[in-house]
Amino acid sequence: MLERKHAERLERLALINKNRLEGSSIRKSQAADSSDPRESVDVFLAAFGQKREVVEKGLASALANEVEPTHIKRHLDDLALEVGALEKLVADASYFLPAYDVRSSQTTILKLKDDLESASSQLLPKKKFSFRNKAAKKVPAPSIEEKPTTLETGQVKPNGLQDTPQPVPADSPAASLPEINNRERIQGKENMVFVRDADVLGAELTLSNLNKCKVYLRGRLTTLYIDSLRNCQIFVGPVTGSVFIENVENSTLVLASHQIRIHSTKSTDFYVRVRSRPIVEYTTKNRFAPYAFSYLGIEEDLRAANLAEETGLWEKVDDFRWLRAVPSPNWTSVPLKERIHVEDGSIVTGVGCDE
Amino acid sequence: MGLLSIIRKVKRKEKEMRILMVGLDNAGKTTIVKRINGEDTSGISPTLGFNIKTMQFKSYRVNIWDVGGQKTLRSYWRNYYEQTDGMVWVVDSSDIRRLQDCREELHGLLQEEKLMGASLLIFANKQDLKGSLSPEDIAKVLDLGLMDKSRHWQIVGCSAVTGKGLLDGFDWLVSDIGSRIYMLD
Repeated sequence: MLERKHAERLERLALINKNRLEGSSIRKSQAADSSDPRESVDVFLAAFGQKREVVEKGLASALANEVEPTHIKRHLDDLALEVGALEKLVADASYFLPAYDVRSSQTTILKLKDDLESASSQLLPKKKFSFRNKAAKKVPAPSIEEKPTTLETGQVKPNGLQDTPQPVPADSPAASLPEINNRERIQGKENMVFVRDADVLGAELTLSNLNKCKVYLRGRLTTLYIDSLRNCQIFVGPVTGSVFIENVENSTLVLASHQIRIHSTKSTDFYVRVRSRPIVEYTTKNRFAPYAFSYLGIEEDLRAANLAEETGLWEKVDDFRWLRAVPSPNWTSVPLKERIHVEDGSIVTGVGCDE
Repeated sequence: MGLLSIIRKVKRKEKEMRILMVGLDNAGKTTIVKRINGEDTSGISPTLGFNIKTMQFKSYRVNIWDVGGQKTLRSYWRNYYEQTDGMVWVVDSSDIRRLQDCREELHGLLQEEKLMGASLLIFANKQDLKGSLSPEDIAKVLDLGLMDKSRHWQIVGCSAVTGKGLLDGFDWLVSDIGSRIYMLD
C-alpha cells in the first residue's frame, strides 16, 4: 500500500519534471528565435547595408539620367521613403547596437539625405526655381547685375527682407510739400465774415485755422476740407462729393453733402443733409440736426446735386469709436427748441473772394 | 515651401488673385471699386469694416478687399494681409494737409512681412479736382523711389468720379500679378 503510493508519487513528480523541462526548452527556443534576428548586430548591419545599397544605386541611376523624366519625381520620392526606413531601422536597433555602430549608421543616413536633396534640386529644377525666377523678375527693372548672388541662392522673402527695411528718412524732401496756387482756401483768419459764390469758388475749398468767423458758401462744391476751426459758423451749399472735418470746437456747421466724415471734434452742432450715414471718430459732445441753410436758387443747386430730399440720415450717425448696439454717448441730436432757424444767406455781406 | 506651393497650385487652377485696397479715409477706395464694377457711386457711406467684390478681369477672377481707412480701422488692416497678391494704395491727391500721414501709413504697410511679395499700385485719385497734385508729385512726396529695388510698383493718376485711369491701373496690376503667379502657363 505504502509502496504503491510512493511509486505513484514518484511517477507524478517525474511527469511534472518532464513537463517543466519541456516548457523551459520551448521558452528557450522561443527566446532564441526572437533574439537572434532582431538583436544581432550582424543581422542589423546586413539589413542596413542592403537598404543603403538600394538607395545609393537608385541615386546613381537618377543622376545618370537612366530614369525617365516623367518618373523622376516618383523615383526620388521612393528613395526618400527608403532613407526613412533606414532611419527607423537604426532607431529600432539603437538599444542593443554598440555606440559606434549607431553613430556610423547615422552618419551614413545623413549623407544619403544630403545626396538625395542635392539630386532632387538638380533633377527637379522647375519647382525649385519657380520661386527664384519670381525674385529675379522683381528686380530687373532698376539693376539686373547688382546682386546676382542673392538671385541665385535667395528666395522671394529673404530678398525682399533685405531690401525693404530701408529706413524712412524722417525729414526727407517730402517734408516740403509742393505749393498749390490754384487751390481755394480760407485760412488763418479771425473775427471775419466770408461770403463766396460757387462761380468764384470753383469746385473745391479748404477752410483752415479760423477763429470766430462766419462763412457763407453759396452754390455747388465738389469737395470741402475743414480743419482747425474754433467758435465758427459755417453755412455751405450742396457738396456733390465729400466733406472732411477735423479738429473743430465750439462751432456750428451747416452742410449738405454726399459724405460727411468728422474727426477729433467736440462741442459742435452739425445741421446736415447727407446721402450716406455721417461718421464720427474721436469726437465728444457733438449734436446733429437737419440742414438749415438757404439762399436764392438753393433748391436748384440741391436738385442738381441729388440732395433735394431729406434723407433722414442726419440722425443715423456712425461712431467708429463706439461699435456697440447701444447708442454712442459721443453725440446727440439738437433738441427742437434749441435748433437754429434756417439761415438765409441770400443777402449777407462780407469779404468776397479776395483775401 | 510645401504650403506655399500648394497654395500656388490651388490658385493656378482657378486663376484667382486677391487684391487689397487700402489708404487713408476719404481717399475714394470704395468709390473706385464701385466705379469699375459699374455700380452707382452716389450713396456710398464711409466704410465701416470692409467690402469684398469679386470680378472677372481679363482671364482672372479678381477678389478685391476694400478695407475702411478711418484711423480707428487702420489697426485692423493687418488682418487682411494674408495671401494678398497685390495692393492698391489710394491717395486723395487734393488732400495735401494729410499727405504726410498718408506717406507714414504707406511706409508702415510696406514693412509688413506678409505683404513683401505683393505688387503695389498707387492710385493718385481725385485728379478731376483742379487743386490736386500730379501723380509725379505724389510719387515724390510719398518717397516711392525707395522701393525701386524691392517691389513691383506703379503710380497711376485717376478719378473715381469720371472713371479716368482706373482701367489702366488695374490693367497694370492684374498683368503684373498674373505674370508672377501664373508665369508657367
